[in-house]
Amino acid sequence: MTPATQEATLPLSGRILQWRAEDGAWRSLASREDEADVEFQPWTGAAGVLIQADGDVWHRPSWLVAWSELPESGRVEVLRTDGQVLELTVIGRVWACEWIGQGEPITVQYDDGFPQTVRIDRPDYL
Amino acid sequence: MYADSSGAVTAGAVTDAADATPAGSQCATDVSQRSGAWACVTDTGATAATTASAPSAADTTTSLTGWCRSFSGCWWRYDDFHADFQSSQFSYGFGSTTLGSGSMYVNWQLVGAKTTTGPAYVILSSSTTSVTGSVALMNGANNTTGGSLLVGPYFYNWTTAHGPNTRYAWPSTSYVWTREYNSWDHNTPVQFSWHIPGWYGMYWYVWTRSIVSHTTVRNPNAIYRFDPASYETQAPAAAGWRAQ
Repeated sequence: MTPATQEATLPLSGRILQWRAEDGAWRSLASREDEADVEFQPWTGAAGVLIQADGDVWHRPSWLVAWSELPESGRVEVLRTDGQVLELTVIGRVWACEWIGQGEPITVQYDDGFPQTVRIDRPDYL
Repeated sequence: MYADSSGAVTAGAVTDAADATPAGSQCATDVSQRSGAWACVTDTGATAATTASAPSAADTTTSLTGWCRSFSGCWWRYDDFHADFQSSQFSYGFGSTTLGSGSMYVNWQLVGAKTTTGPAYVILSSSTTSVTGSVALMNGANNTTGGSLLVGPYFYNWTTAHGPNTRYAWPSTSYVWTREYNSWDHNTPVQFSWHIPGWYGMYWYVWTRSIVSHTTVRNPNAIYRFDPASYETQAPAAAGWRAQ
């Protein structure tokens, strides 16, 4: 990590978010081992959300982690199905959050846009 | 499953008794005679021969080799570290109504103990309200039944409604990396599932696994290489539906 790179480590998943301010690029690492291999990518403002589950959470509740880019406004809210607002970790112009769950959907709202329900259908290959 | 010995599609776990008929039996009948949800690789209602074709050429470390199954698609092995899958066309529906058809593509690349999945996409002819892609890394050697989950699963979700004939491609900036070096064998399944407007309480899915890859050492310096194209777990691909 260069001095110009900010980072945050999420406590449950251990996922590492890094933001490089000098060129507005970021990356998300599963572990420190990935640091040499995963390249920084420029911030694009895309709203797509990536989620990682700790195994078969549908049968064994465990952590899930979601991350994506912050919109221009910096306003994003993530809710669980019971209305709990998840605490976001924000670094540079990317965000991430974690929770313990069983594969329920989450709702992600950017700015004043229509809230998006993010489903994580249990894969049939499990 | 749509690459099994019967050529039929097996539904996922379904608890709704009214819809509990295995989808596989649906595919053996004409569409007009079907009931409940189904997903099939052919849309004719008939099942053709299901014998997997032989590899098109001798598997070597350098030549392009392939392996096709009549009711799922083809796996191609470009070299030790690069492979992909192209599905056959599949269709899905409910009762006598065919709701749509589609196809799926996935590319895998290996570097040391890392697997990168992507490009990966599904093309669906029907409108959707939500599409979810998932990727995981699993243990499982040639001809084994599945295997244990090693990393993931990871998910990407297209949350907004899309019209017909849309290509849902996993964003290149979000290709999934997985790293693991404690297992001799890896395979990487990829699933796409989709919800259709007006058909609530269920979703349809299609998935495939990569060709098995293998390492000769289990440490951070492990180098996984794809086995021959025909080296698959016993469940290399499937399509079906689930009650939500």
